[in-house]
Amino acid sequence: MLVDMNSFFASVEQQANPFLRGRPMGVAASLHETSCLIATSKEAKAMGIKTATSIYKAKKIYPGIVVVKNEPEKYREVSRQINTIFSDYTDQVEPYSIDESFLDLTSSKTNPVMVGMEIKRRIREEAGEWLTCSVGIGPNKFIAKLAADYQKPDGLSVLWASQLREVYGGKKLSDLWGISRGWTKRLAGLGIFTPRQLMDYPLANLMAMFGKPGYYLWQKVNGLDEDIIATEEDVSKSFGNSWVLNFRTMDKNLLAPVVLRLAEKAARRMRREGFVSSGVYISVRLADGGGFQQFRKLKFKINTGLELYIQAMSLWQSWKFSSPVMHIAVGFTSLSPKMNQTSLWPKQEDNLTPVLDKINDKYGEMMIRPGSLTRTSDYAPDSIAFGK
Amino acid sequence: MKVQGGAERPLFMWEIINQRVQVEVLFGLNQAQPQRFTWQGREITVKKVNLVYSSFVGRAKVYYFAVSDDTNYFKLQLETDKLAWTLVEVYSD
Repeated sequence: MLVDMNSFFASVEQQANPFLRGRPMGVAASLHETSCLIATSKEAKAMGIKTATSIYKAKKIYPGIVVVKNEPEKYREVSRQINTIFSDYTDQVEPYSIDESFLDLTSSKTNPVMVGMEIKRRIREEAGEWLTCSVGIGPNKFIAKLAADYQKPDGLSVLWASQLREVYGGKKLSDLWGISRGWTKRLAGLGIFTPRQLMDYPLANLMAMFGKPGYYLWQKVNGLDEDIIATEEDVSKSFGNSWVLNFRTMDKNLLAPVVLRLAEKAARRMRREGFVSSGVYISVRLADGGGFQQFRKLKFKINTGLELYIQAMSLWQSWKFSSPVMHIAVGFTSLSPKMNQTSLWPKQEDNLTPVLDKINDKYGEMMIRPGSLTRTSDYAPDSIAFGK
Repeated sequence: MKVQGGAERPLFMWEIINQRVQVEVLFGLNQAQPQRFTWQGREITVKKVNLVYSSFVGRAKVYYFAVSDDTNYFKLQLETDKLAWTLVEVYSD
């Protein structure tokens, strides 16, 4: 089962402030006219104002739109409350994103439709009367996702693999969950443009072209996926942070503190989870649509923001920006659990880092920080990931 | 900071206040519910608590109460380490 909260951030804002209900409104990370709406209310969507529309464009469509600045803690709290409700029905819950969770009800004795109805009611009663969700029920995650998308907002749909051909009518490949733009392009090369065409394509030919991924794709689109629910306890593969800059420049000296701040944030999260890393990545998107990205495998382990920053700086040294930078992402990969074995050659940071963490745990993030991060508090503020 | 919004005429007023306020609170079994507070010499009766959420500033937990009366929305903040209440913002239709 998939429970997909409708217009989540906007609905939470309307829950908090009832005077926003019934009004076209949006949520943005910044109230600058060029900023994009990270969520729009059902009323705004009905007017054609979709997520990712800029505030400027949204105001052109409807000058009276109310835009509020996002408050990530608010959404996390409601998401936590909702996931607590799910845990009353199964311990196999995969929070796929802040507003979508998969529930494995295979071992539940209750009819999934009854569970779905009860969850919808409890969300309204316990988390907030303005919060609605679309529930999709199916034999696997892919079909549950299709079912949830079938009726929005506030729907509950059940879908079986045998109904897929009918549901695919009029759909494009890119409408399907898990089919990337890259796949759409590759399949177009074979003359496959629709889900029905992919369903009917000879499996042997797909496998000859794409190998195992071709098989998995065919299996997915035919509703034969055998998936597992990845619960929160499952191991993370990377820790990274990214930010759409609130200024534009090509000057690397001005951009370096942004990289350091993102690196420090990622490092704090990684240490909190008890990991060290032997891989790093950095990616940069430019205003002209171009960009750079690079990954580096290390022969040693790192766990501080400064170490990630140094690696990232050496990676981007050769990059020449043709236009101002608008987005930076940096992070750790190749993770392994931190061992508490004492090193024969301890580094100074080995003793210092836990003390700095303790200070920041007690007094707040970045309370103690590298000097170059002074007056950078508006760089990469607390934000929330949505979608996946 | 004042923000006015709307098309031809302002439809709403959103104001950041950040002022300490006195709040009358009902402590129930599992929750605290602001009942009344005084701001600018006015006593405001809370009609509904719409949302409660929290965050941490270091180890100090801060609770936020999104409340409303018939015509206004208020955001109240309770700093648990100081047991101090702040009116953070007001929205009026």
